[in-house]
Amino acid sequence: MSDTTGTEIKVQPSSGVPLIMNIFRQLGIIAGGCALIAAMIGKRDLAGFIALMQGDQLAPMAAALVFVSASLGSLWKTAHNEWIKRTLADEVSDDLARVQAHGPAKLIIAIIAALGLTSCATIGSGASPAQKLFEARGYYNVVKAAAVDYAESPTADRRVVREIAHIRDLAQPSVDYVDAYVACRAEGQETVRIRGVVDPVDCRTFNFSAASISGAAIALRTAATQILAKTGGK
Amino acid sequence: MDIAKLILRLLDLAVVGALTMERAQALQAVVGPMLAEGRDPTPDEWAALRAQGVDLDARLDAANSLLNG
Repeated sequence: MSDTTGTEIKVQPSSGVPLIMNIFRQLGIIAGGCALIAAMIGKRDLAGFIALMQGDQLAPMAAALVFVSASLGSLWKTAHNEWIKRTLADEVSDDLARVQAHGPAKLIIAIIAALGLTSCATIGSGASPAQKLFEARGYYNVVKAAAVDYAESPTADRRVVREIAHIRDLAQPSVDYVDAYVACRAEGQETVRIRGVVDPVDCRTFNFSAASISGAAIALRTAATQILAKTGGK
Repeated sequence: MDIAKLILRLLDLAVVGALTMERAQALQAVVGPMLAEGRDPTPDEWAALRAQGVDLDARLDAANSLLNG
């Protein structure tokens, strides 16, 4: 990693970007971010977009805007470094190109993440505990499906796949908790079978308070976000 | 990384992205009416969600052992 950083400093000194390009970049980021988010929510006219920003979706939309802006900046940097690499420096290591290639990947993943977050209708709403757990578990599945698609693709990075599997393992207790909730509360059983545990577990060992259920839902969403971030590259 | 590889990776991600959006919409198609009707998920809906998760875990483990095993 230190090699890569060293190469990057050598190739692209911070003073090497003309001021006009910087301004152009900032404007591009803002316009592009707004256009992407507007397109994302199916409101392609400005008035509809502003109305939505003023509504109760302001916070997730602002988060999405920050995500997309940062990613567009990263995308621009990738293109710029590619241009420098092709025109000025022939001996840039493949490592640099590999690291920079994550820019566009992050952009796509950021859009998916923003979509996922804005579609989590149960966050902070009056949804029942079962509804909250169901949606969090469903969102976790959606993200895991994307990670599996990536892991099975020909361009998958083995280290990234290993890290995704590790995050999945860490999130397993939350998944088990949802299973326990279903067996003990939704189905009214007295014991639950947990993966990896030989004997059925007594339902009384689980805490199904509202706070505990919210905690499990948040843990699943956090794990999903971490998996998305890994899928998009480091 | 040459430009062909970069394009291949972007295509991969575009496919993954499109599939993910479809899946997110499919989830919303189940959760949306559930919230609107104010009802809890049925045992069948829970079972479908669980089966999906088990299948994904198996595929992730297979891909992981193929790459890192």
